[in-house]
Formats: sequence, structure tokens, C-alpha cells
Amino acid sequence: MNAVQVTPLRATGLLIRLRLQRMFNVGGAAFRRKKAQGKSRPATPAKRKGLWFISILVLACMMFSFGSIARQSIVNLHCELNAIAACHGHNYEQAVIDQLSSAPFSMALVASLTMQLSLLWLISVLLPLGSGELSKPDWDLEWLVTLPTSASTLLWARVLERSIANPVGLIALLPTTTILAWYGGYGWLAPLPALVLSLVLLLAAAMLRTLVDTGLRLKLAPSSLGNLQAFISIGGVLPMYLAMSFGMGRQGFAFGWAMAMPAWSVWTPPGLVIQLLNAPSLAVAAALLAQVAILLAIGMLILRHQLRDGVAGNGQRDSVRTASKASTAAPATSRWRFGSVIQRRELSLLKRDRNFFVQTLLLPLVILGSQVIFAGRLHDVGKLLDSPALLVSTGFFLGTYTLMMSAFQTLNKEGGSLWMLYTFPTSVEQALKEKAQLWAVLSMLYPLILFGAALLFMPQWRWDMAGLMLLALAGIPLYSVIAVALGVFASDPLATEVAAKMRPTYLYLYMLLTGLYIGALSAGSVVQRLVFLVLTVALALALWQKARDQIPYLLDPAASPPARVSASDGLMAAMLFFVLQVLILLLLKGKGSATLLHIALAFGAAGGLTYTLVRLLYWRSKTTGVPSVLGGKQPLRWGSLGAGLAAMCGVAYLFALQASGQLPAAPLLHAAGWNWDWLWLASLTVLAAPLCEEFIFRGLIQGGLRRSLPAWQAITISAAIFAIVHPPASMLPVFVLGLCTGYAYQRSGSLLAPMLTHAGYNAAILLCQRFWIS
Amino acid sequence: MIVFEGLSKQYGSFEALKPLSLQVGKGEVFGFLGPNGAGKTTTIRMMMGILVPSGGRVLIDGLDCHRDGAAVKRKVGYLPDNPIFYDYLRGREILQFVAEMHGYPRAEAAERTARLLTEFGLDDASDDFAVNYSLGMKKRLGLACALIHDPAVLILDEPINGLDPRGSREVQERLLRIAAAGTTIFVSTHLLDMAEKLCSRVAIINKGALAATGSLDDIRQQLASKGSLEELFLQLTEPAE
Repeated sequence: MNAVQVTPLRATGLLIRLRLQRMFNVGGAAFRRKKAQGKSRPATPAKRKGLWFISILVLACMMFSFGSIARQSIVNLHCELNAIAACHGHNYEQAVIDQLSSAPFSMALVASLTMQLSLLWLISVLLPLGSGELSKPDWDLEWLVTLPTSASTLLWARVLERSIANPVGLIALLPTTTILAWYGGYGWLAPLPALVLSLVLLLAAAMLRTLVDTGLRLKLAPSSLGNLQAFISIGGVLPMYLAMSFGMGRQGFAFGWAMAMPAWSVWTPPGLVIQLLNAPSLAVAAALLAQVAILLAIGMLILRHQLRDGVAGNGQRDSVRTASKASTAAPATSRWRFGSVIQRRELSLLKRDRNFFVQTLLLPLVILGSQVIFAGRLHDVGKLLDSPALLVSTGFFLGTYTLMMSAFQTLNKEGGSLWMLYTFPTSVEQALKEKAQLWAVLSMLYPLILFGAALLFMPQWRWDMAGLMLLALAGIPLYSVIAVALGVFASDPLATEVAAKMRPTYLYLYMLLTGLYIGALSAGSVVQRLVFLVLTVALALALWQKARDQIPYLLDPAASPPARVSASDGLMAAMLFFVLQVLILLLLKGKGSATLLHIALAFGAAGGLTYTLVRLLYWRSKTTGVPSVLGGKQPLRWGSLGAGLAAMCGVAYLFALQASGQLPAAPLLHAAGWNWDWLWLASLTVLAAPLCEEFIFRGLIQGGLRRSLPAWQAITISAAIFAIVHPPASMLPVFVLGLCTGYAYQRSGSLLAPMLTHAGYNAAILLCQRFWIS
Repeated sequence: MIVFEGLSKQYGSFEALKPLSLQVGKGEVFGFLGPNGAGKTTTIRMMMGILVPSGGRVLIDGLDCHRDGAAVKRKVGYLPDNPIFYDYLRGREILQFVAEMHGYPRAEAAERTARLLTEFGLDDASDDFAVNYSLGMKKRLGLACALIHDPAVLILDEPINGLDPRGSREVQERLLRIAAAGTTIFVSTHLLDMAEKLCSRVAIINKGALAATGSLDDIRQQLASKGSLEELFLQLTEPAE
């Protein structure tokens, strides 16, 4: 059978279907049916399970909140225009809405709403333009013109396809038009006219977008297109904030503009749409259709003029020749040089890639600035000085936001040229480390400026604020490490589709972790903050280690690193141990109060369960490097040496406390005679604690850290983690104990040594408190 | 110089490379031949530490390519089948970067960069962004990157694939000159006339398994055939029924 000529209608339909299919593939990958497994190379397993549910939830939330902003905007504009009495007092909105629904809008209100709808329309043009399609080197139109359809069919199809498949535009316009239709008396049918009229507006948007992107493609080289796209994406944020500011309150300066909208603006397409939604009228509908048709026709004329010389994107190879003349060889010497080779390369990329520059260094300022300016909250800036927590959190947010766009993207930025890092005689880990350092320094910039300014303008020096600032600044290098490590898990260098190169789950995780640190900054005592700092250090190191293990497998489609004992295992085991303790204790004590026996039993059971579970998991995954209790070299010697040293320090600390009168009372220890409680306490401290805790803190955490750190660092950090899980009064001696046990473990290679040290120390403290201190 | 000891690779349950044992001597130009999807690129990626072997190992100058990756790369230059370079970096800057990563001080790196750019005829394009290069230019730049540190071993993945006749002739002549200077070259290809012209010895792999190895004459003898390399190749890589 011969192929027949495709009708323009069918061609248009096919093109629209293709676009929708693509959109579905990008967004709705989770809905796809799973292919039957063939014999050939199995595909990498899907890693985005369950995310579609979150996407739908997020979409619903967005629609709902945009709708409520639209409703509030109408109320605010109405109140501002007419200065009516109903606009004051408690719960005035409902009264205003009743008033609005009962009669057609005033023309002044329509005019000011036209301003808002036009802004939303602008969003539906700018955001898709800035979404990254421009920065792709391939231009799909170049391919489409090779199909056997006429150019005009193709161009009309393109405009139609872009009006229908414009999810951003629909999200921007639909909530507002639906609310307008609701007030216009359409009732539950409101979404229908809202959708139809939004699509009419989106037709014009699609035409403008096509004109702009065709013009740019023909004029500019790919690299400048990428840069321009960055600025357009920032440009798109602006109308968004302006449009939203109508719903935020009545102070924003956009209100002034809305009030000043000329009367004729109600006869522009957005104005006509509002009129139609407010009160159906044939004449208005005809005017709208005629205007849009004329706009489309003019647009098509321009488009055909643009493409009069054919469809050939600029800049592939032709521009190379012309561009090369302009630049001369860069002066090779005499410049001041900063950092390592990798860091210098990263900096020159940052300098040239506007997209990257805007996202890392400009966007945090834009977000903060628009919060302050457009929502009319300029006077809030002064408040920052009164609230140290808010100020410091803002600084920390600016730093970590920069990190999210830079350090987190480290691997993603390497993209297709990741192979180069594997050809150098330095490890890939070293390259990542250098990038983490660089971004830690760069991300300090905004917080430092902010804090410096705050210290300058502060009426008097405040130690608490300075301390908080230091804590926030200390957090930034840690989060740089965390961001790079999480970025390693998040990015898939083998993915071809842009959307699949980044797994969003890890981005959420990063944001969650930053949120936690901000929480630690804004609340809690000094001790709690210290605890959180130590935990963050441990987390950063553990994540880094996991990422490091991942490096040799980054470009491997199937294999993953073999299981080895890692610091993260230790952190998780420690967490499990404490959670289990609490749960078992709750179970044991029931409604009564906990006795020492309960505590000892809960401790022992939780330790035993954790140990069994960890060993079971290690056995299942054939993990190597599992710490052994026996064996090693001279565990008795190192254990007793450690015990002696730790006990001496502990006892000295006890006497020091007593001398300064800060020794907490311990009635049980001083009770006359012996009783059962004594036995439980002794078995808990001298037997159960060393057995359970040494496996986790020395065996897993120190042993895990030792894989990627020198011995003294691994010992110090595991000792610090060990210290912070104890009550504040005993943190210092327990830290020393941790150092001694760590040293004993390091020297002997057997868990028996630190267990002995731990038991010896606890026994010494117990006896000392019982007999010598009263 | 290069020793494969039972090197193998699996992707899940798929055997991309069955245990491979081979030796390549110093100064040899060794051709690694096979049809598309035979496992050539997988093998080369394991030599470069880009993939981790599922079994066995490969040694270059006595160093394990996986365990002593950094040390191996001091001696090895590598050209991938499809070199992708950083956006927003010019050819000159990329070459300078690679030279500095190999530890040359800035002045010497600049001098080497200038020399190789001239040698590879990239002078005119050296100040353009490398992403805008044509395929031939990218391959030449990639080869320059591979040669910038005078490696003792050169590992090339399809070096002339996609080049025009003049470009491919130039690359082959350059490789002959490099080989004459004593560099060991391990080159994968499915272009047989190139293998015939360049290689002192070849290995033919098919579906991840070694089908034949030796000089062309050896293989002819093994197969008792007088045909061209193309005939040998077709005979050895015949799809199983």
C-alpha cells in the first residue's frame, strides 16, 4: 500500500500527540508499564518509584494555593479601588466576595485585574522559554522541516502544540480564570469556560514564544543561547512575584500600577477574557477571537519572514570561523592564581556560563530581594537585627542555597566530560574534594557580608549573636561536603534525558538536612547546638565515605560498590540502639516508673538486638571489615593501659567537680549497705555498656571512619560522637574515655581492648563515687 | 606492557566480557577488533578505571588499572570513542587544563599546548569553545589531550571512526610515528584496513569472548585461510545460529 499525502489537520494532530507523549515521558515515567525482561542486558532498575504520588500532591497544593492567592487578589484589588466600608474588620473577605458575585465587576476592577492576568500571561511565555529548551544544542524544528508537510502546517502545528502542551501556562492562568468564572456565576461549570479562555490566551503566548525562540535560534550561537535562557528564567520570576504580590497584602507597589491601568486596557485580550468570565457576551467574545486571530496572523507573517532563508540554527560550525578572529590568545602568565587546577577551571566556567552564575550567585539574592521588596516588607529588614536566629538562619540559607546549585551539582556539571577526570593521575575523590573546598569558600560570601553588616549596625556587641554566626559559618563547609556527597548519589551521569540526570529525592533530603541545621541554629541550649554540630560533622563524613565508595562505579551501568563497614552503618546502628532502648524501656515499665533493673534490661536487650541485626545484615550482604571481638594483638595489655589512663582522668574530674561544688547528687550511690539496685547498676555500667557500646562506637563508627581518615581523626570524631550521647556533665571525661578506648582499639585491632578500657573506667568511677566522694 | 589476567565484566546477568587473558608487549601496536557490541569499549573502560572489573584484572607496566588507577594514568593516554568536552571552555584551555592536571607547571603546560595545537592543525580553532567543534576536530583535540604528557602507552577507542579520508590518513600516519618512537598502542576498531595497515598483532573478540589472537599471518594459519583480514573477521564473528 502506498503512503498517502498527510492532511494538514492530521499532521498537526500528530505533532501535538508527539509533544504530549514527550511531556508524559518526562513527567509521568512512573505510569509506564514495565517491560518484560528480555534475555539481553537488563535496564537499570527504576529508581523513582512512588514519586508520581508526590508530584500529584505538589500539583494539587500549587493549584489550591494559586487559587487562594487569586481570590485574595481580587478582594484586595476591589477593596483598594473602592475603599468600601466592608473591607475592614474581622473576616471581611466573605462579605466582599458576596458583593462581588452579586453584580458585574466595575470597569476599574476589570482594568486592574487585566494587569494581573497580563502578568500571569507573561509567565506563561517566559517560564517555558527559560526552561532550558533554548540551551539545548539541537533545534527540533531543524528536524521537523525534513518531514513531508508544508511549512505553514508545521508552523501552525507548532503554535497549537505549544498552546496545548504548556503546563506552566495552565498552572499560571487556570486558577485565576476559574475563580473569575466562579464569581461570574458559572458555578461548578467554572473550570470549563476558564479552560477555554485560558487556551485562547495561551495561543497568543505560544505565538510570542515561538517568535522569540525562532529569532534567537537564528541569531545566536548555542553558548549565548544558554546564557540568555538563564536571564529569561530570572525574568520569569519577576512577573510571578508581582502577580502574587496582589494576593499577599495591600502594600506592594504593584498596586499603584494596577490602579493606574488605562481604561482601554479592558479591551485587550486579557481584559476581554475577564469581561467574558464576568458576564458572557457575544460581542465581547467576537472581539476577543478577532483580536487573537489578528495577532496570530501577524505573528505568522513575522515567523515566515524570519524563516525566509530556511531553518538553520546559528552557531553550530559556521560561527566558529567568525568568532575566532575576535579573541586573541589569553595572556598565559603574570596573573594572580588561585587554588588548584580544578578549582581554577570551575571558576572560569562560572565566569562564562551565565546560567550557572545566575543560578548559584544571583538567584538566592533575587529570592530574598523579591521577598523583601515585592511583598512590601522593606521595613522588616530592621527586624533582622532584633532576632539573631532569623538573621543567622537567613545567612545560612543564602550559603546553603548557593551550595545546592553548585556543590550539589558537582558531578552533574561534569556531565558528558566526566571521563576526563578518570584520565588524570589524581583520584576523582581529590577532584571532588577540591570542588567542595572551593564552593565552601564561595558560599561563605553572602553570609559573611550579611553578618558583617549586622555586626556593624548592631547597637551593641552581642556574644550570643556572634556565637550563632560562627556556628552558621561552621555549618557551611560541612554542608558543602554533604552537598557534594549527596550530589554524587543524586546524579546519574549515564542518563541522556535532562530530567533523569538528577534524582530529586536527594535534593529534598539536602533541603531537609539544611532545615534541620537551621532548626538547631534557632533553638536550643549551647550543649544542644554542640551536639548537633558533632552530629553534622559525623553525617558529613559518613556521607562522603559512601560517595567515595561510589566513585569507581559512577560510569558503570550495573555494578555497585561491594559492601564494607562504613561510618554511616555505625551512625544508623547508634540511632537504632537508642530508639530501641526507649521503646523497650517503655514496654518494661508500663505505667509505673522505671527502676534500675528496667534500665539495665532495656539497655542490654537493645544492645543485643542491634548487634544481632547488624551482624545479620552484614552476613547477608557479605560485608567485609566487620570488627572482631577476639584476636588482634595484645588486647589485654592495651585494654588495661587504656583503662588505667581513662580511670585516672575520670577520677580526677570527679574530684575537681566536687572541689568546685558542682557534683550532681547521686543518692543511690551513697545509700548505706548493698542492695539489688547496686547489682543492676554495676552490671549495666561494667558489663552491658562496654559490650554494646564498643561494638557500635569503636567497631563500626571508628572502624568505618578509619577507612577514609587517618587514625587520630577517626579516634577523635568517634570519641566526640560517643561523648555527645552522654549527659552534659559527663561529656568531657567520656570524651577522654572515648580517646583511650579508641587508641586501645587502634593499637590492638580487637574489640576486647576497648571493652576492657570501658569497663575499667566505669568500675573506677562507680567505686570512687561509692567510697571516696560523699 | 599490558597484561590481561582473566579480566571479565558483567552487567547484571549479561556477560559483556568473558574472562580475557592477553599480553601486549612494549612498543607493539595492538589491534583490538570486533563487531559493534563485542565488548571492546567495555574492555578499554576497565583499562582506564572507568568501569570496575567483575573479575580478574588488567596490569599496565605492572600496575593494576583498578587499584593503582592514579599511577597508571601517569603512563597512559586515552582517547574515548566519542570525546565530549566541557561547555564554555576553549580548545586551548582544555589542553592546558589537561597538561596542568598531569602536573606540568603552567609555563611548560602552555608550551606543550601550543606545540600540540599546531601539530594537530587546531591553531585556528584554539580559541573557540570545544563544544562547537566538528567531530574530526573533537577527535584531534582528544588525541592531543591523550598525548600531552608523552605517555608510554596509548589507548585509543575507535580513533578514526567518523573522520574523513584525509583526517583518518593523518591520524594513522601520526600513530605510526608515535609507535616508531617506542610508544605501546592499544587500539580498538572495527575498521579493518586500518588494523591491517597499523597493527603488528591483533585480537578479535566476538560477543565478549576472544575469538583469535596473534599476527595476521598467525590467524590465517590458524584458520587455514588465505583471505584478507575482512574475510577472517567475517568468518570469526559469524553470528551463531
